[in-house]
Amino acid sequence: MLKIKCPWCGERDQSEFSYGGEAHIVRPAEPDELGDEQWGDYLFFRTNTKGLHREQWVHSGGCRRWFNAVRDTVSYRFHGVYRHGEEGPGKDEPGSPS
Amino acid sequence: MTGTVEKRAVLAAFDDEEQLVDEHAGVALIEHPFQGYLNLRLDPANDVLGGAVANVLGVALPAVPNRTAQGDGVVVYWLGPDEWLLRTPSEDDMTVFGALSGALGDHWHALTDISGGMTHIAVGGEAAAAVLAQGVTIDLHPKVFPAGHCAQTVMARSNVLIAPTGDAGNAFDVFVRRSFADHVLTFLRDAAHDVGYRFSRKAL
Ligand SMILES: [Zn+2]
Repeated sequence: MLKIKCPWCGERDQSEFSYGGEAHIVRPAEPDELGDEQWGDYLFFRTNTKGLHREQWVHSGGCRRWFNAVRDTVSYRFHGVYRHGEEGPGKDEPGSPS
Repeated sequence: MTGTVEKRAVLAAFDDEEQLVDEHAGVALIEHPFQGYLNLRLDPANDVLGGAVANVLGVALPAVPNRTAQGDGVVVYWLGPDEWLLRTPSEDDMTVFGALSGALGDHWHALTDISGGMTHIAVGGEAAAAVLAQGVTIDLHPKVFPAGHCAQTVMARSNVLIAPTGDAGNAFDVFVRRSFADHVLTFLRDAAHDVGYRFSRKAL
């Protein structure tokens, strides 16, 4: 059982959270300009990282706020959480937003 | 044809159910019906709004997550960094709603009357924490969860708001959406089976 630290509520049981996929995927500013392949990339293709992964979580059973987390996809260990708009831990680590 | 419709408490269906009372009854489950609930959302960085609200409520909106504040005839619960629950004694009394609407005016905010959308079960008695703990994963011990704190969490797979009402670890307020209320009460009765319980309703 994982404990996840909500940036507002602190450490809570994993069962209070929902996963929201990879973080820092920016919606294209001009969707009309994209071809099918680029649009498909945006919608469906993820990095499938092995190791440190920046991802979105929502504290759905608690304060219902979204936040980002850095989690090791091999060990499941959380390396930190950060609110939207914050830089987050380990900016230069693998998986950090470019 | 017109007639009056009698108000029915959310958990009225349980009134005739058998009570599991003995001399050691560990918990009292008491529904407090027909209270007023307002959901308030605004930008916490806006001091003008914060000041206006504090004027009306007689207390500042708690800025620290998962804290409550006692105002004039209203209890405030932190729900999110820009969201609070306000509880007033009666859903029919729109005084606080009107005063807040007036004070916030055209400023960017959302004030929603959600009375009737939830109910309040007070869980009290020496086994209160032990009964609740069967359904939640948060620590209910008064050392980490004293009066003045509150927590939104999941109890028996239902979203609830829990707030201790004393520092002895034997009295908690549980707020639950009305459509989950009979499930939650059923769970609490089941969880209290070993210690005994009594279900009642606070008279108006
Ligand atoms: Zn939270």
